[in-house]
Amino acid sequence: MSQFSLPRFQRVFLNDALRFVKPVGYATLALLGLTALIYLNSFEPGQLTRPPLRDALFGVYLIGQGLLFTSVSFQDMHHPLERYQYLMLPCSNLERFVSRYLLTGPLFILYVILTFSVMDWVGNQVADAWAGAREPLFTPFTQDIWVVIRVYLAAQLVMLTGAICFRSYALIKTALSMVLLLAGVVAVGYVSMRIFYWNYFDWNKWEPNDGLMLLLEPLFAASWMNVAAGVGFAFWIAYVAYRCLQTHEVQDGL
Amino acid sequence: MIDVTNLGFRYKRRGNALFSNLNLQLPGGTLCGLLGANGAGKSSLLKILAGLSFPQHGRCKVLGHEPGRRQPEFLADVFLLPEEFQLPAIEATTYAERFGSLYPRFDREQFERLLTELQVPRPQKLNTLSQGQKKKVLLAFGLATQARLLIMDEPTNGLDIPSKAQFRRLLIDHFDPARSFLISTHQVHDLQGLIDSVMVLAQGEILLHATVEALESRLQITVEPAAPTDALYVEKSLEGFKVIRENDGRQESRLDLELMFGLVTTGPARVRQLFRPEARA
Repeated sequence: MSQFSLPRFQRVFLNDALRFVKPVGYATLALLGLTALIYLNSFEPGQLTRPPLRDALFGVYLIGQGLLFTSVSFQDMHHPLERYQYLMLPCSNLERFVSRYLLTGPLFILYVILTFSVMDWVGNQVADAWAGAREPLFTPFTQDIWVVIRVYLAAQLVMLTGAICFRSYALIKTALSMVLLLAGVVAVGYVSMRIFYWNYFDWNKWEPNDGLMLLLEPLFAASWMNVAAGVGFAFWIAYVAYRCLQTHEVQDGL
Repeated sequence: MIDVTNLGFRYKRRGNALFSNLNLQLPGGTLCGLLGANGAGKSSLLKILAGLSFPQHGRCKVLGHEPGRRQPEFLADVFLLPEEFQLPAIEATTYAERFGSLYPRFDREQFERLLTELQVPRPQKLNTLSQGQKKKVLLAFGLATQARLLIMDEPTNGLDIPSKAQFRRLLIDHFDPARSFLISTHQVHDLQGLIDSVMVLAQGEILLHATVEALESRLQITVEPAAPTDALYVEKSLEGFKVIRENDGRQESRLDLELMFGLVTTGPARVRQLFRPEARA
């Protein structure tokens, strides 16, 4: 048997999907009611909400709900009474990992787009019927929505790694770790730049001059290539963490 | 089926090595009891064999695989019944549909038959069953996977007396030379009359590994009114003194696992001498 068999992966994926159907379904229903209430209170006849409320809500729903969902996606692996069942299932590490990644990552984005479109339509109908106010329907094909999706794709992989590494409170611990890590990266990056690009700085000022920003801009531009490279790297890190840590609690006798 | 050589293992968060040089060979078609005191390392050894813990050194092969690599074909051929576990909030039939499909030789009809035989209440969500009933479900599931190695960690804990008898009967009925059952327990009475070989784990090594037949032919168990001085092991009981002597070949006696366990743990050197390969030949 290979490390990745499509029929076996389909069964693993279906099992995982069925496991998450209930909690995600309940969350969606709760958000549906919330959306209707928010629309009802925000829409006014003949006026559009500025900035578009639905785009902001979509971002909050995708990133908030998605990161929360991702943070608990490996709970069975950490649970002392559930982990044997999870770890002894006859499938490969790659199949287990990809299944959870797809469910909490790309497929979750599609799910939120679909359900948010429904919520938006229902919210519009409620607002229209109650207050006689409606707005154009939600469409995911806008620049702002794509930015939200790219942010989620990157943040979700970080949270997935946190969900693998941290047994409890993965959401908080990952957020704290990221703050510390980013602070460290920024500090090291700044010191490195002052050393290697010393001629772009004035000795008595914190900020570099515009020349350095122009020089480094292509590196940090959110081009698809940069995003794909970043997501690919984060995916690899998450998978390595998964391979190394999936049995670490059994191994440590916890 | 199982081949372990010079295995060393320690928990990272604890000090001493649990096993420093453990050796174990288990052929196929065996119903083997793994006995040991609390904390002897029975569960840890089973986890290593199931690919859940990784030894620091030595060689471990199970069904020709390295368990630590956790390959799908290995996991499909080894079923672990843990001492404590939780089942999802679904019914047994749904459980078989969802998880049985991952085992290439899973027999759903056999699973249903075994559940009926074990009197598991249905339809009922698995998470609402008692621990004993959950064990029955998982045992039935394990047998239905047709896995060649069934590893059971304290399987009789939580079972009532009729269920223990059912458990023994079920294992005997479903035992065949193509598979092996490895049962760890500290309740040695539960394995009496069930197993065909015994391993005793103590002091980080397998102190004894012998067939029940070999034990019965080499050891003689009697009950005597006074404690003899020439015995291998003596234990006081209500009827007098239970005594183990080396069998002189004149008398056959039935193996008393509890007594034998006492002998192995109190006089390991003598037992090793008695069951070394030359002595057996």
